[in-house]
Amino acid sequence: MQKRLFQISIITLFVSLIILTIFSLTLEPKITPISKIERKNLDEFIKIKGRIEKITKINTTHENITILKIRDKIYTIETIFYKDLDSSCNDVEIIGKVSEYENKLQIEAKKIKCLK
Amino acid sequence: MLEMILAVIIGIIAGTITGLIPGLHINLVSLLLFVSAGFFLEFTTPIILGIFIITMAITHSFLDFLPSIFLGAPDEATALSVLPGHRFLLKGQGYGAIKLTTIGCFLGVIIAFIITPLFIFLSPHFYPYLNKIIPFLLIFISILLIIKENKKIPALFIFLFSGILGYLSLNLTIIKQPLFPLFTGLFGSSLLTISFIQNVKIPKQKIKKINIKKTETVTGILSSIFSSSLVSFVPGIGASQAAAISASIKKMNEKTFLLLLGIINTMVMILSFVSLYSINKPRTGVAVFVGKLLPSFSNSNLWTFLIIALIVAIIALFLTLFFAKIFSKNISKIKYKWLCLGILIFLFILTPIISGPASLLILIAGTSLGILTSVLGIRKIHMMGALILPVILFYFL
Repeated sequence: MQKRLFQISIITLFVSLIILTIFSLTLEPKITPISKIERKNLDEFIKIKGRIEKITKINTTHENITILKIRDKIYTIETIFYKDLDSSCNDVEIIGKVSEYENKLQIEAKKIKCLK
Repeated sequence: MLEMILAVIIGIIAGTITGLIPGLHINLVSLLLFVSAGFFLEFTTPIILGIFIITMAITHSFLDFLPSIFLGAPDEATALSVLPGHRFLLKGQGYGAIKLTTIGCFLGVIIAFIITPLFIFLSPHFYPYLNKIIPFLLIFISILLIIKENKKIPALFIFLFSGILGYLSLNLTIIKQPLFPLFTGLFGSSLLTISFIQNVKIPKQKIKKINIKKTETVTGILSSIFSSSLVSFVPGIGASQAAAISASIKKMNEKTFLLLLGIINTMVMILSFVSLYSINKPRTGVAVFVGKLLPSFSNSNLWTFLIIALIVAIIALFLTLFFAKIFSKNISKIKYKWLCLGILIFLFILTPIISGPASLLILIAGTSLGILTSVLGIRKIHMMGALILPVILFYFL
């Protein structure tokens, strides 16, 4: 019984880990227009696409933070990235979690893809 | 004043309901409240809403151990109580196990109250340095936990694969609230599956006192003060890692461990409000929400919350023991095998609703790892790799 349980568990574990790895490499959230980001999206991962309007870098002894102002068409949103970012990027695709800071929605970027 | 009393009463009722629902984490409740804050603020002030939140959080922290120990359905904060709690349940001492965690929770509130002035004084000085040493400390703790295990290779296997599962879960952008399926699988559904397969029968529960030595109580208190204070400074780690830190420092028996889990659960919750005030960093979902409600969280706000936490703790203590008696009297009357199956079905339905359909894979992988840990005969604490490894990787990648 124990041996059977061990075999089933180990097979299930590896199969689900492989599928999860494939999912994490291939599946991404759909692009959300900035105008459609609402409080109900808080704590959710979303993907946005836009142009960097302003870039602010904060380098302290404890952490490097990049704050980006992203514009798509007429709407803008601030994105916070806890890493350094290549300054030559203009257009970007960002995947991140929606959060709120000082009563304004923002995105905590997990992945930033430089488009041009 | 009347509004405040009403907030406390409603908070206790809400915390009792959320605490008794299997697998429901207080952060999820906070998030739902945060989304609907606009609606509530039409009727009341932010401070009253804050009082409601802390009352609910403290009550939830006490009652949260009931589904974890009696039903084997924990959340992240109570996950490590499942196995020792279950052993007590199988000996007919489920009530005793709850009594230990409840006394622990109550002690946690009192200790947090006492150490708050010192914490406020020290935290701004220590915070910048602790943030730097935490990944090394976590590596050290992980090595220590594995070295202390008799079966080192299986322990390493479980730790690493839990870490891989945790890392994948936290980085899968199509999943909401990834900790829910992760911890439900690792600590909850795995135990329920084993209980179902083995047709576990719950003996008649005895409602009696469990004796714990003074030295054991002191051990539990001291190690939980150390670990809870430590995790209250640092982002990304919480009550469960604090328990892992304590367990790696000193080997303790199950009674002390249950007491310690209770202390840590409420201490981490309360110290997160103290961190919000002293270093302006909230360290729990509940404190994040309160920080947003009260952007200039003042010293008087903090002490109001602490006094309310103390009053609520007294009520929650009796409330938890009252529900523990009801659970104890009825659990042996129910066919436990079918209760396990019912809770398993409930968790498998709830998971995709809360976290999305892909989260079922995390639940299945977590359940398999939990079963493997039991089959291999090693301690469940190694599955804390699910949170420890991603935090280490966050600092180094």
